[in-house]
Amino acid sequence: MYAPFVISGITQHTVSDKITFTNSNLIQDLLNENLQFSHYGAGLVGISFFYIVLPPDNQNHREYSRYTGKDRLLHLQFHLPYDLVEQLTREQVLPIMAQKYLQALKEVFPKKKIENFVYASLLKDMERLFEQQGWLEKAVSIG
Amino acid sequence: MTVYRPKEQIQVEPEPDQEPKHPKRYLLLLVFCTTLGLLAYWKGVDFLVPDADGNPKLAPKREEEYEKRIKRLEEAEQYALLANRNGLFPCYSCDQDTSIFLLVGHVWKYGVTVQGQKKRYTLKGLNAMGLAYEVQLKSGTTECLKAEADKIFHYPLLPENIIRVKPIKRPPGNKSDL
Repeated sequence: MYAPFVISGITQHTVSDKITFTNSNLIQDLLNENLQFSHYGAGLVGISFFYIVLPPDNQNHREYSRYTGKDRLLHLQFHLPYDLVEQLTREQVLPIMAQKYLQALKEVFPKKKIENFVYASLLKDMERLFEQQGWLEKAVSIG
Repeated sequence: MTVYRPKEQIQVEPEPDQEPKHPKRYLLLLVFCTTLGLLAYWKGVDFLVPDADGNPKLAPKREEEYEKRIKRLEEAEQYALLANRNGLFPCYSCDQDTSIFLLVGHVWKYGVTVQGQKKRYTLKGLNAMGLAYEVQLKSGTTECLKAEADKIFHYPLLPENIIRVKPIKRPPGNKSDL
């Protein structure tokens, strides 16, 4: 991967500009500038994340998570509600993306049992960063 | 009192002519083998079953496989892979150059899939390159292939290509017009 934290999207063309290119890069840049995987152990060196934002009738892309021990990377893709994203502005979608990112990692990390990696500390630091940006102020039910 | 006869007095009766002692056993064996052979034959053609009139028709399992295939062909997806970072990307349409500089949002490739993204591209592949996957049309295979062809052939007219010193014929990631 070209950076330790990489975030992208699998999106319907009608909402791409609210997810990828702008918002996803804001979150990605914040994480890459402030967090280093080596501070939490050697078991993980990168996280690759995709937001799936597609109409309900498109079931081609499922939620997915996988840890590859060989290259110590965690890959995830998780849904955001298409109808919600379609209604909101790009600025309003950003905190929802941040919350979903954190929520997904909190759900996935305990299941993957990555050795030699203190994921709880990473999540705590990540949460602190998002709070500083004001992205966690308004909790939104995003499923 | 036990009487022992000398050997010469013990007569050994000759073996009768060889006759099958249990002819029914061999017949049963023959029937069993024939049945097994028929079963093996039918197993090789388990995609056919007889209908009410005894004529062959597709087995239910095969019929189900056919319907699934048709459904997948009706749910194709035309997509674009777009640059999610500013930087160099592989270029298969650049004559002598093997890479091209793209800005965020620029098209790298158009394609069609009937199987969905996970099977077409791995997560690792897309994010390793810095690409985003954008669904542009969800329809039948024919419509999606037409949309893909339309976009590949008209790519040279995109503003991002026209402003290049040397515009390219098709998107950098498309190796051919197909």
